[in-house]
Amino acid sequence: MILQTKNICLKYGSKEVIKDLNISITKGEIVTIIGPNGCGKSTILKALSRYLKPSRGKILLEDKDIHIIDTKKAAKKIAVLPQVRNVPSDFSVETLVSYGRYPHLGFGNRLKKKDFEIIDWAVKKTGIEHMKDRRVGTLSGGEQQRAWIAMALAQKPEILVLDEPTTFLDISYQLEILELVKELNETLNLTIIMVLHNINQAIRYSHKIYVIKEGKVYSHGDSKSLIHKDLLRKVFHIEADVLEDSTNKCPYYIAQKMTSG
Amino acid sequence: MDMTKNRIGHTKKIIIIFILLAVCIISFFISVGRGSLDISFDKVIRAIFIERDTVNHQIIWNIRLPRTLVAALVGICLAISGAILQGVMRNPLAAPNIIGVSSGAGLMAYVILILFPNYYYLVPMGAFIGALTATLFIYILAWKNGVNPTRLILAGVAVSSLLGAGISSLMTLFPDKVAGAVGFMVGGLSARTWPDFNMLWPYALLGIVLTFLFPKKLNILMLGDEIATGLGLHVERTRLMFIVFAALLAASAVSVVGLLGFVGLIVPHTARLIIGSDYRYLFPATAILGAAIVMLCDTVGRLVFDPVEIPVGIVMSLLGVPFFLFLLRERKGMEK
Repeated sequence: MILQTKNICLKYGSKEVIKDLNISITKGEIVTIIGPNGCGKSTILKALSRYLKPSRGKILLEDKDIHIIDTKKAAKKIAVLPQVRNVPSDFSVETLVSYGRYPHLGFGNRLKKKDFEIIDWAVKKTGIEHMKDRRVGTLSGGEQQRAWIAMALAQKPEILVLDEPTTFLDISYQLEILELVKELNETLNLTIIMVLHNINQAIRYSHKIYVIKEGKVYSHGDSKSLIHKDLLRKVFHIEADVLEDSTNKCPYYIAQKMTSG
Repeated sequence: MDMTKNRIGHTKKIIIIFILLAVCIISFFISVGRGSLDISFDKVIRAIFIERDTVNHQIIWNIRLPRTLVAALVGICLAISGAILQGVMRNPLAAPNIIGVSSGAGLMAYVILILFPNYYYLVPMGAFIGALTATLFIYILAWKNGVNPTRLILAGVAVSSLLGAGISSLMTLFPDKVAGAVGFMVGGLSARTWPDFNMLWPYALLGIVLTFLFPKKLNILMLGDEIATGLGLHVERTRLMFIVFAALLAASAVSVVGLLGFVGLIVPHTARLIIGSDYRYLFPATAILGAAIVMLCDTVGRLVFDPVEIPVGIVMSLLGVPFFLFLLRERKGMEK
């Protein structure tokens, strides 16, 4: 287990959003969390990325409590791309990517030759080396997403946490980002934990899926066999038809209508 | 220093900083040289470094030099304070008055000047304490499992208007004593001399050291709390540190010259329009520009209606705002 949560509870103020949650992530896997709006999936990612501290329970990174490990040490293992982020539009892509090196820098925070090599590697890996000098504000949504992923890669993490990486992107960019995620997983043995809204993309691109309903794990398991019509009815309240995607060898669900009650 | 391929951008920004530095030095000599008695550049140099008993030396050493230096330091402190707050709050409208510096200092100054006029000499210390207390108060009010910038801004606005109500009540209750206190509200440099300078320079030095030490932390903080946490930055600790620095810088400046908080809003923005948002360049540019602008505006205020002086705060608004608006419109056009 590279990362696991032990009976964690997560609160916003006094409102408990997640109760006694247990999740285990194996190294080298792509794990996707799905669930209806408001079920707490983004909250779980916030906890895994150390932003939200559990009110009870523990999160273990390689068997050590994630909030006891020095924050920079943890940042060398886990990189995070949340939904809420912001970059001054006049920063160059390279400047943005260079912040991925922050946890690795010594006193004075100067970038060394090795850091620049890693930045170059990260922009190459995400296919944006030709836009290194461009201002972030001039990039399209998909290009910006790749720039952020490059920043995360420059952290040289073992785990990458992505909160809805395809939101606001058109279908071709969605495909491009998910293909990139898959490639990073395969070539770097990078463990990926992400939240997706599209169930079919989750099935196709992950090894494991966790289905969250009302702050609890409804079920989890192998992505290709976990989802079934009854689950979609109970968790998402939809009636769905299933087709076989023979190209990717996985089921493909078509939502037909809301279930009544 | 920087091995980035993005060298052209880097070199260009360094050149801009040197140009600003040149402007700042010219402003210094204009400020020291111009006045009721104009003293030329070479005579200024001689009066400062060589002569001892001449009239020029007296005028410059005792009156103009300390006042000019105080102006420069005030500009540096307020401008850096504003630049820090705009980054920490991720809000372009953030300025020292947002964290209660102006209202806190203002209320304390008014309390002393109106209720205890015999203790007028305590105004700088009182204003300093008032400013920091207001900041602390706002920070505590905004705290709830951490401080979120929006909550901090709202708490700041609320507390500031509360303190402002205090100031207004004092003015209403003691209308006969208001005249003596108005100067503090406008912000002026009249008769500022070496003791003021001695009070200010440690803070200005702190500000300058900061600009070299922590620009990267502030850049990362601008990316958002979650990203910054993910990159291994202690977000709350760093934010508190920056707010404390900003409060100290602004409080020290305000306690010496009164409410000149406007510098903290307009100078960082002007610098941002010229050099961009990267704090590695923005900090030095802001500091230099802040010094230059306050020195120049004070000089204008001394000269136009000589021998009557216009407080630097008013000149700042009259000259600074149109220039800033011009810059804002120009830049918008360029980006499209």
